[in-house]
Amino acid sequence: MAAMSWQPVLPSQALRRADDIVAGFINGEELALWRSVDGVAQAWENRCPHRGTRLTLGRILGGRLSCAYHGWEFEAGTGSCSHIPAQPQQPAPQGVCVKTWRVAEVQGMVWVSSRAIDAAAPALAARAEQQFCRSLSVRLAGEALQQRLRALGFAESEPCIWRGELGGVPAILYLTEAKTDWTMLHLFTSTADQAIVATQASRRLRDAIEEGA
Amino acid sequence: MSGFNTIDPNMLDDWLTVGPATRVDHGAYETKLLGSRVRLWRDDAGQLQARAADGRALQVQQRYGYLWICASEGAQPKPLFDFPEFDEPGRRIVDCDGIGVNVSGLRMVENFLDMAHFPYVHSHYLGEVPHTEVAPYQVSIDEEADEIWATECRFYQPRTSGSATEGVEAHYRYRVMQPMTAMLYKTSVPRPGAQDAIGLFVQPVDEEHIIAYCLLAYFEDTLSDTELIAFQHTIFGQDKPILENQRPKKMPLVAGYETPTRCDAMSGAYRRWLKKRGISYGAIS
Amino acid sequence: MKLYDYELSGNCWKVRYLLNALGQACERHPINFHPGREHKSAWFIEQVNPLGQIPVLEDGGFLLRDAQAILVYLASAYDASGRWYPANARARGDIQLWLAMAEDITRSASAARLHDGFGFVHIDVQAARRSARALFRQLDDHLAEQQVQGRRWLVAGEQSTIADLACFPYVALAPEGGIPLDEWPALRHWVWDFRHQPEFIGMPGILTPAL
Repeated sequence: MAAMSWQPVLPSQALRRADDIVAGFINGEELALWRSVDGVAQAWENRCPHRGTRLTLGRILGGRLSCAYHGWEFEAGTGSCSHIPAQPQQPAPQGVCVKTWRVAEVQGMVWVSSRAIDAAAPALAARAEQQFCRSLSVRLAGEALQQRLRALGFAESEPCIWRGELGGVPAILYLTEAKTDWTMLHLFTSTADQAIVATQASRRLRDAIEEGA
Repeated sequence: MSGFNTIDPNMLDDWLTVGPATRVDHGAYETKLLGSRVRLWRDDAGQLQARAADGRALQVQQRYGYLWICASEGAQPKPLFDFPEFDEPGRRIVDCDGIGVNVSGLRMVENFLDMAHFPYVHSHYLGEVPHTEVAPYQVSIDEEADEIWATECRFYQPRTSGSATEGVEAHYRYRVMQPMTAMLYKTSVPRPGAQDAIGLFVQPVDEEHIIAYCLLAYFEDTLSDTELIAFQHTIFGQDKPILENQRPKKMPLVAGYETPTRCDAMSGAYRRWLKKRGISYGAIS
Repeated sequence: MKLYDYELSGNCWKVRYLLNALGQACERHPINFHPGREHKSAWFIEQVNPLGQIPVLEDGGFLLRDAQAILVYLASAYDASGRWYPANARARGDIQLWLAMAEDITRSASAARLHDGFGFVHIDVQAARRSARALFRQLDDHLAEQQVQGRRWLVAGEQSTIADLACFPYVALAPEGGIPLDEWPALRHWVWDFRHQPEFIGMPGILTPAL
């Protein structure tokens, strides 16, 4: 996988429930995201090292991720395999690991970066817009999307972070470029009431982005 | 130039199934094989005919109630595998027909040979936690037939077949006849000591799409065909989301992708056998 | 009660699911949907359902076809709690919208799955996928609006209703028809939530979280 520096991939809220395993899509990669028992977000390559099964089909058992195919269990943090049910008497093989990404939760979003990258997680200024609204897909990416966002009154305030107004309320969009033709917009506002308004307005935003392209 | 989307002789110079013989009962039948359309029919003399997309005649035969094509012109394919149970008196032959699956045929066959997934994918049927351990079994190659066998396999199964009413330790044998065909033999519930045979015949529509046909040769006289087919479809239907969520869809035969273990003895033998044959279709080689 | 049923049918699964949730015993009459196309056979059309479709429920001589109709009937007849089909006008109006959506999902996402998995070669699968994607976008928009208000289900309430049950299986099975759910995060959350209900039973193609 290509080395990638810190980018937002999911709202923290997407990993609210204890046994959630959520798929993330970023730069053509697929991630499986979940939380360890102590609440630390995990971002793993969505592929079991045994036979390549997507880990998002699996289950969380005792704080470990268990693959849906053969029940292999992987430890939070390292992603290392600690249990193979087909050979329960034997210690788990050395060095069998899911590929993991660095994770940081900043301002209500889960950010990921490749392990090869040495940069610190983004130190974002505190913002009022901590109320998550929704994540929505638009069939546009890169410069073409940015042009549409600018045309609709949004401006990039930090990398991957755009500010503007939606349904009459101030809003922040965190951008995750999932693929070259598809971006996820993660929408935040400041209050619960604003979140409802902005969410209802988000369909029109998406239509405006896609129609104008 | 074969006209098909491959130069792999494992696919071109051998027999591949395109479905049950009933497909040509009421006129011509068209389907896709190795990425290209083929057409089959019975002529006025009742002879099977098959043509490639470019009109070339293809060798075709009917065996075991199924249609088999050799995609390569002028090839002398070795005879199709033996399946003596098909003609054995007392057995019921039930054709479960095919389920389309979006994966390489090689992964489909490997799944068919695997027991370790029973408690996870076929829970309450072919396996159950905590009976997850795969006891060691024997793997051998029949050099003359160029087939692989796994014998002395056994696994605890809560519901080994449609007629099972209690858990049993099922005894299995597995056999790979071609890259895209395999057989399993398992404890017969009504006739302990004998084994039912289940054939898997895979039609490679293309490298990442198949139709998985299943043919049963059972000792069984209480369940209807519908019930036997429903059970088999349940099992295949449970495997389908796993198979369709394996990445990559083609089977990696190069190092660095996937990790076998000792209890994957049969799948390890299958992958080594494929590599030795130089397979490229449906593989990353 | 008797259910004319096929293991791999999502519409049949809806009925099996509600029967199980309501603790109602029901005899299953397996129909050879594939490869036998028994649902189109003369006996089935004459004696069970002239439209040649499953599921069909028989209850004390009353024959009812159509998965959504059967869900309404079972909830009305056997759900004393009123949880599945709440007896208030607004809820019923809302639920009706989603029962209609469920029919649209069958015509699109289920059709694509039948094409890819069961040899229904005459279905226009590209059109079916396009229709399904448009429906899933609508569902995702609605569920996002529900979820931002702290609601999990299609119709307001703490528990799922026949609205969710009717829409669920062919959404969950959509990838088998070449329609991955990647683009619709609220829809994926709803699928996850539905599967993680305590009374959840799966079917081939829809994994049960509890082994």
